[in-house]
Amino acid sequence: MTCGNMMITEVYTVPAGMTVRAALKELQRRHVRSMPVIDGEGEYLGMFRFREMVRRVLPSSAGIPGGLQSLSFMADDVQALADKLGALEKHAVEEVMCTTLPALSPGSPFEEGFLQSYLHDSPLPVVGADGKLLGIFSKQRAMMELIKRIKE
Amino acid sequence: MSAGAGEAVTGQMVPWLAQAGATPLGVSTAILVITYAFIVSERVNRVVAALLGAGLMVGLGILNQDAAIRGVDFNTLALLTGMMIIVGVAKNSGMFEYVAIKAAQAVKADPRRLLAALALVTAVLSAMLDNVTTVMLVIPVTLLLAERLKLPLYPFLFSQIFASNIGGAATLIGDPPNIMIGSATGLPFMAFIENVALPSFICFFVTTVIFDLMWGRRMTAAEEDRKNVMNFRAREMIKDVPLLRKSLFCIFLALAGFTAGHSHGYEPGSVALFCAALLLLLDGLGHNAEEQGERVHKAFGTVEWNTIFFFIGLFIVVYGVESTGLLELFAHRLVELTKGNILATGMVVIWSSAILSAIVDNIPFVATMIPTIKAMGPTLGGDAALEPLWWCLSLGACLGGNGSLVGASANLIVAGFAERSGNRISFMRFMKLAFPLMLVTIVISSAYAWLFYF
Repeated sequence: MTCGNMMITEVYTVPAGMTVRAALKELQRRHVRSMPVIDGEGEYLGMFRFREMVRRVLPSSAGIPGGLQSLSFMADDVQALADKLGALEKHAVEEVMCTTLPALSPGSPFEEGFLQSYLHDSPLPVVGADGKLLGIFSKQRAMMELIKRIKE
Repeated sequence: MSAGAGEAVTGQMVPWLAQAGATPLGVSTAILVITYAFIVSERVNRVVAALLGAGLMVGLGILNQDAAIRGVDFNTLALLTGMMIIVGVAKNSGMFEYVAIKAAQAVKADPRRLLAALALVTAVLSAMLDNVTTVMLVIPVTLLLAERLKLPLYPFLFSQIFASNIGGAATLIGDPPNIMIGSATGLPFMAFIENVALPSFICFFVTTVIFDLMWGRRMTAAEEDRKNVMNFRAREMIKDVPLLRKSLFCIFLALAGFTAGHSHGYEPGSVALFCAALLLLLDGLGHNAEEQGERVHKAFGTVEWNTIFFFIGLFIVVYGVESTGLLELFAHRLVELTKGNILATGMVVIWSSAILSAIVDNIPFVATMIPTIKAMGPTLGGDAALEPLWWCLSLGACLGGNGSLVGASANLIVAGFAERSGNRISFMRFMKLAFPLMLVTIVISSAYAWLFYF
């Protein structure tokens, strides 16, 4: 069993130039937490995720390595966070997408996809040799496959 | 770490080198130059370079293993390790972040006074703890405050870099150069307070006024944003009150030990390690053996072992050149250059330390200068006559770290935080202001040295 056999092929994607505002609406509409970002040729560029948006909206000192581990002391100031999000909305998704996730190849073993999606806590792109997005490896989908194979 | 030339500390130089006509002096000098060249160029990690240099000193027979071990100043290593453990445990209480938030609230989140208050907190903590730890704990709070008050971040980061190096210069335990000087000379904690704390305070005051004139007086924040900061519940920063009490007890015990221990024969390294062990004991009370083990493991994980091993490598490299007589030769040349005038020698030491420490890491420089200055003793009138030179070395090396972003480890830590938060500090932009300002602090220190040391 390879990642290519296991991947989801009907994938919702967002173009690199789409605004953050529009991409956030897409996430909401599709009920997903991340979407691959592709260029005009269908090449995979990165992943647009709620997670990155949360990090960018949080105080900059809290979302970075070595930064604050707790904000329990802060006074309630939701508006400040909303203002930060507002300032980000006009940016293109390629400016805020995650580019550090590993891309799986369709021939990668199932175990590798399972491990990497666990380590990065994210669905991972399955990308062909030409750089084009082929599908998404999701650990939920992989777990379902394992459940099906449990011997009674 | 002292050996005169010709003392029986050297190993047998490998035959092929001896047959090729190489002398121990030449070989050890070449190892030192190559090691330092790699450290300065940053092409090889500095720890690796220092350890390889040390390995070559032994491998090529300049030192035997016993001699190499004798060259390591374990008092310095113990003091560094002990303080790192204490801070590593104490920081889990949240006390340092609490102090920074309280300082902001004490000045009513007024931007102008906040700039000075955060610099003061950084300077005081740097005097009591190591600079790197201090900025790692204070800078995240600074980022938050500047963001909340919608203030430019750069003045805060810049002033805190200066404060950390100036504060570190004020005490024996504040900065690695002082730890090394204190350990090599036996000068007690209080001697540092009496001799370098006041010029450090003057430098802090002067730079704070300059920062206020440049930035502070022009800063304003909206009333609403200030109110928001005033509403921060600083008390919430304290995550573990019992640990806070234990940590404060051990930190004050260590400070008392540094202050009074010298007259009873207790070196700072022993005091720091004892207090670290005591804090680990107190921290583990009430936990089972497995949990205690985990806590100790975590505490030791906060020790910067790369720094400790960097010191080990350097001590051996420097001991190698010391034992072959290079540093004695260098010391004689320096004394000849200044015609044995101790004031002139002091000025050479303070200015060369400052400028070199701004460009390269001050730790290798100080490691080399310590035996060099010691070797000047007989010419300049004995060990007691050297004391002013130690203060010149301390001020020059510690304050010189402000001259560029690579001048001190704390500067790089601040730059790293700035970059991760999207506020990159450019090397040249920093140096354009930092280098002249560093020179101002060296002029102040030189004047102070001239008036009070000589």
